[in-house]
Amino acid sequence: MRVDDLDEVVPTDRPEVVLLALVAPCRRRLLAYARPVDRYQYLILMGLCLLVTLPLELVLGARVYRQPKRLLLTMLAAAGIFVVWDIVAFAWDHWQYSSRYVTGWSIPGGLPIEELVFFLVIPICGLLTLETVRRLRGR
Amino acid sequence: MMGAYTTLTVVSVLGVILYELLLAKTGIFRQGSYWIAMAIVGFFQILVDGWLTKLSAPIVTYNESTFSGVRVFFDSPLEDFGFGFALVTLTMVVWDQLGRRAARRDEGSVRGDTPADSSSGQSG
Repeated sequence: MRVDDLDEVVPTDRPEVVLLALVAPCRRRLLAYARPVDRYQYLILMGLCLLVTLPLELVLGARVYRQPKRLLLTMLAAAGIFVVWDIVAFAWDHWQYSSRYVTGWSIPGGLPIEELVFFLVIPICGLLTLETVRRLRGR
Repeated sequence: MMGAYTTLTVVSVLGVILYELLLAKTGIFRQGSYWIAMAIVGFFQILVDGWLTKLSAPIVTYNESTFSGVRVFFDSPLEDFGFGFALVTLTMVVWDQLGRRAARRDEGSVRGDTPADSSSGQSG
């Protein structure tokens, strides 16, 4: 079932109704209600990724953010290629983004701003993980 | 026929592997830390990608005809994991290339008297 297929919007933000909707047979109808926060869901998810990995830099000393020039160049070269892929894939209709869960802000090429954030956040999380593992294992 | 997303995934995974082995040569595939890091990244990808793709409330919906149709964990297309592998690996390889270059430069400026050291520095 795709959320976008839902047709009826139930105007409620009463938590007990939303909770009921999760188990009730009328789930399909009730879930159609979009909370205002929903459009930030993708961005919030990305924010959580950064938040969860931040201790790797601050506590475990990954030294990724502390090399801003190297990080920036890496992002431009590596992540940049995948942004191009993403724009092409989006244009070729490989995938779409639910309007419910994105802000609606987009970059030239029609890609939601969230996708650009994705290609910054995920590689950074990867680098933080790599450098932390190296550091803990003594390289 | 292979879907376009499937094809692009295979091409990018092979492309990144070949880039490392033939051009970058950072030796990252021989490092245990790389594989450990990728295992950790892979675990978190299951969660994060799952949140994006779960069919009960998908943020990203896939055109069924462009991928293999195989969905794993929380409805993530199998291709996503190739995509993730290529994205994160390429990032790490470029990161190491830039680090190696910087290390070589520093080494050169500290010593001053000798030409650039030919030993590649880190491996293993």
